[in-house]
Amino acid sequence: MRYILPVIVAFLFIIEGTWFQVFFPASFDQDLYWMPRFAFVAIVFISIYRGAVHGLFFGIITGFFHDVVYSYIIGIYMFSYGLLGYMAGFNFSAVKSRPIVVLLIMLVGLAGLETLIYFMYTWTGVAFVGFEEFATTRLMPSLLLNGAFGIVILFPMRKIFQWIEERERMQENV
Amino acid sequence: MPHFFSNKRLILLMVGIIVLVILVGLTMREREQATIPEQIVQDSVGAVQSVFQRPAYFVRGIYDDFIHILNVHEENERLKEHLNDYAMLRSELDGLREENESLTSMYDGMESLSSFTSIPALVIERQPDRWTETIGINRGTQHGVEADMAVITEEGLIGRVQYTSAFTSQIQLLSDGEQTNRVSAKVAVEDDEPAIGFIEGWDHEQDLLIMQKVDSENELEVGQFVSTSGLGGLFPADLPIGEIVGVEIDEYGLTQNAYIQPSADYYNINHVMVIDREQGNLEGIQEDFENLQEEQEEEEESEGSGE
Repeated sequence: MRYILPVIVAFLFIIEGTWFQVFFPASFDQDLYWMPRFAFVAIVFISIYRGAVHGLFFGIITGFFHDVVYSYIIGIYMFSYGLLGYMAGFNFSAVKSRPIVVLLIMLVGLAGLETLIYFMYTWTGVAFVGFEEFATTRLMPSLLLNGAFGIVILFPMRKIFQWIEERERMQENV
Repeated sequence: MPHFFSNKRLILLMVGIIVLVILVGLTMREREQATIPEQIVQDSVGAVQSVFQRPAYFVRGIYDDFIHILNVHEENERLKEHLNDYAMLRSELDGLREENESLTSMYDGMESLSSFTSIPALVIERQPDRWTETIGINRGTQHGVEADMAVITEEGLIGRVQYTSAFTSQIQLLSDGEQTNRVSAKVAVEDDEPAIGFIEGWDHEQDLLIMQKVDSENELEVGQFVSTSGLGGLFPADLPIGEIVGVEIDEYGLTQNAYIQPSADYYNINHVMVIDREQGNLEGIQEDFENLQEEQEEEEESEGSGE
């Protein structure tokens, strides 16, 4: 069961591009872009509960896969997932015991991620929308969707983190 | 974010940014085939994605069927109306087909611009962040897919193969606004030569394709159908693209732009066909050209020796 966290992140990464796109397809008359960032939400939680270095490595590896599988420019997601995965690592017990604070950090991290990716895509010439349009059609829906997703998975994931910590403590005692 | 801006971490951040710039710079240009490590990642993730995607399509299919059952009466009425035209179209089609066969048989071994073979494929992923509009399919170079091939659904053209790997490939949809995504298209004009133009660009506000560089002498009208012209060399002719919904003269007044409502749905795609254009035709023309050149050279030589 050492691999439970990588499996969770990999699963969320896969369903972003497959199940989500099949069951909630966009259409021509939709103006908002609902971007799933499920794997990133999980990475922020891992970074908070397990430590910033965990967040960094999960972020870099997931970002690398995102770059290679979904686009031909390599580095954008690797850098931003890694950086924000690390920066979200508020590994204090005062934070960990307050779900509201954890969710708030997750939302701030998400907003940072979307903005960072927006600026990097503008820099590489992929995106060409104004910041205002980006904020209303992409940032806001993303915060709503992934915030809701974060609320759903936070409590099951806290159980998993507690379980992992207990196992670690038991192993230390043995 | 404990002590984020300490010296060691700042240096690591700088190194990260430098690596980012190098990686982006190296991979940004258009590439036909992914590098070997990328291919391994793409193909193995692709295999997992196919496993996820098949049951999802199954469930989605059941849902769609359910919706269909609710609409079945309405649809039946509509189909009955269509059926009246069907007999007439059928007889017309038979006549045209015979005519076409007799005409094509007159050309010795010439394949038409629209001949192609197709490779069916399953859509295994779609770019979730939607900054670029791409989808992935479970067919790659091993199945004969090559970069720049046309990709269609039963409703019409949806895009081109952007790059390939051994068992998967990435499709760039026409709704991706990149300028390299350019298709030579034609508009059928009654009793006249078809109007030729280029599909380039995507109008993000109205979600319409933009067809540019159409000669302003051609009379474009709302409701005309647009299809590929086969002149670009990559795509075969007569793949449906969409219907004109708006026309405007471009800024210099020499050409006109048409706005096109795509006939295919770019969002709800399960199965696609990759179109492999039969190149025999083009090679034949090239050979003809070479023969012609040789003949001319020989003539010149003989003329030269005659003097």
